[in-house]
Amino acid sequence: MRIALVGQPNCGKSTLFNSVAGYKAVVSNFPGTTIQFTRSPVSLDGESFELVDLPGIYSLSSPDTEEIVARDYLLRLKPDAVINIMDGSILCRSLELTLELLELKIPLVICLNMIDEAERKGIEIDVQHLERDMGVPIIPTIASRGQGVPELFQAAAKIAKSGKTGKTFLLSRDVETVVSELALEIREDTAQGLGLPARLLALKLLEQDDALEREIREIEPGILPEIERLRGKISSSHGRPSDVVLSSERHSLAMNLFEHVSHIKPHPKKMLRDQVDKYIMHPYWGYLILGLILLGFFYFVFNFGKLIEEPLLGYFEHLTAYLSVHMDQESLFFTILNGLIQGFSGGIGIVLPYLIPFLFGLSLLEDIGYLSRAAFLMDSIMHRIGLHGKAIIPFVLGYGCNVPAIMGVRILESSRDRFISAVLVTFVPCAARTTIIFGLVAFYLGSSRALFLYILNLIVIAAAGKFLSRMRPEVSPGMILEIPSYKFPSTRAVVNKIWFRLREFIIIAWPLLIVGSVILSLLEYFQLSEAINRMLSPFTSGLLGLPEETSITLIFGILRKELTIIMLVQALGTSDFASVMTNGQMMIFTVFTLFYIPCLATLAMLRTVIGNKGMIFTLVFTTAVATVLALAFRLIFYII
Amino acid sequence: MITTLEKLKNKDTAVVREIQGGIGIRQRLGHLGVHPGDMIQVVRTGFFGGPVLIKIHGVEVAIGQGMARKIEVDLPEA
Repeated sequence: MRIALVGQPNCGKSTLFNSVAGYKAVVSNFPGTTIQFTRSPVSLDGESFELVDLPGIYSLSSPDTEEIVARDYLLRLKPDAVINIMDGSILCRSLELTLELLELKIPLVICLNMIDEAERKGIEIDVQHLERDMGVPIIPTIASRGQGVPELFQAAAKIAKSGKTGKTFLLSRDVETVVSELALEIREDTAQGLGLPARLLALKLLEQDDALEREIREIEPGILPEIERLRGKISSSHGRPSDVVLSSERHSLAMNLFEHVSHIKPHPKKMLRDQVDKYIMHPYWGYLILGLILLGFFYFVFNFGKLIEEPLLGYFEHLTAYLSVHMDQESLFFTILNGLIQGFSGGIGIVLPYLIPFLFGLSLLEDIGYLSRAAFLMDSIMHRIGLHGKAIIPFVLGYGCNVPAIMGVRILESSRDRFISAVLVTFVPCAARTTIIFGLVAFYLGSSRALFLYILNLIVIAAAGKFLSRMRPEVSPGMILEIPSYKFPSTRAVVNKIWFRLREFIIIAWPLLIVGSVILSLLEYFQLSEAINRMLSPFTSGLLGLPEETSITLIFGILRKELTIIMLVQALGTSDFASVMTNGQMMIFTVFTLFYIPCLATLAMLRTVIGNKGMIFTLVFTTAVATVLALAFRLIFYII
Repeated sequence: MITTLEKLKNKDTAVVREIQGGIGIRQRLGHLGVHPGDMIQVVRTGFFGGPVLIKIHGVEVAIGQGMARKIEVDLPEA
């Protein structure tokens, strides 16, 4: 038996899913896109079934491709029952999706979630009344506390077996006539092929659903003029486009239902939320608080990270030192083992110290409801580089480590925003690149030059942002974002979230890091560094004017950025860089390492977040930007 | 008085008249409960070119300036 969870964003769907599926859930990619859904085998009361958690959708038709993918999946999945999760505190709006789900004619159970929040808002809901009106079972729950969850699944199992579907709500008479006219004219196999009941298909076509219209153009193009005619009929009689007429009809049906079954008590007291928001979203205080929170977050992650990373990597150095004493350092076996340890420790050095505190902080901010408020404040600024407010979070965190920052890009809804932010984040100088800026530029050329590099970096990020947003023009003209009420994050939800995101790094990025390290060790073993230096020399010394020996350090920098400067000591045979490199060379080298190819762990994460193509694009794009900038610096130093 | 959303002041209550622009905008706004005929209240006007924060059907929604300019509202005269 298969049960799908469907609900609007922020209704507590994932909380519900996690409370029953726990750690067993599998994250799957929907073929062809980057959209993700989770599924998990669940057994409750001796019933076992597969539970599928789909991304939140507001409606069955949407301009957002991701929501469409979720819908298609729902249609193709053919679940035995759908659990429709609703945020009880915004019942009216939630009912609009329910009205559409009823049209699917799949057995449905309503999970009336967050009833505690509804009560706090003074909304009293007559559940039995609503149940009678809708013709489906309704179970009130508080998913964050597990309240009502067993009853919900019992009801879902029962309704799946009975196959009973809920009521159909009719629209006003003139619209209804048009809908049934179209429903009758569409061939039966067309609707069946699309996995939709004829009436729902007719409704969606009249609502100008793009995706379905494209499908119809393939299957039954003969009906298109008829659809056009009927849309015209609705819009001419109502004086509004047909999609507005239908959505307004559904809206007023939902309002009527809501007024019918609920009673709103006047606010018992002034909501705490309004008091807090007065400062958090204030034009001046808001930014101050945001700055403090981001700074605090940054310090928390990086001080915690440093505290653990150094002793942790120290252990691994001891291990390597121990092995090198007791084993033949020249042997192939030792080389491979050394590579393995390097890759393994590199992964641990990212996961434990940085990723866990970062994910903890992010989940906390997200679950409390602060992220959307930060997005509200930052929207106008981020708009200038073609993104919207929420993207500020990954950027700030990129200064510590790009890996969690790229993971953080997931908080953005549209794949375009995720792509642009992920590519831009790779330009943010992480802690490792900071050591290069400080070790080379600040130390030898002075701190003002180092500061200049940070400013240059911001300018490049802004310019690259403009360029990328031109490349992928925005579909929507701006941000529409719900500002949710504050919630107390539940420990279980936070732990689950950390684990889900962490697992992704462990399974996907870490192995790549280990393999990469082994390959680099082998390069050393077979003494290929000289060959590589020679091979890359036209680029490094010919084009950029750097010493030929720096080539290999740039290769190592791809494994881990801080290796660039460590290897530079080895490659040049001295730690006094000023004796072998000119000021110009040091600047060019630093500029190039600041912008070129991100490290392996970042690349692996990029691949999971924006796909192979996105990763390859980033490789080419970053290399191009780094080369152009390095060349510009060579020119400047040539002139002065 | 007929005006557009971004011109309203804090605590102004108005009725949505018309949403200009394509079906994409209409659907997005509809999803968050903004339809013609609905009553909205401005919680915070957009500052520094940022989004307008409104309350609609008990939910707070931030709407970017560009989009707010496309929402025609009817503000009752005081």
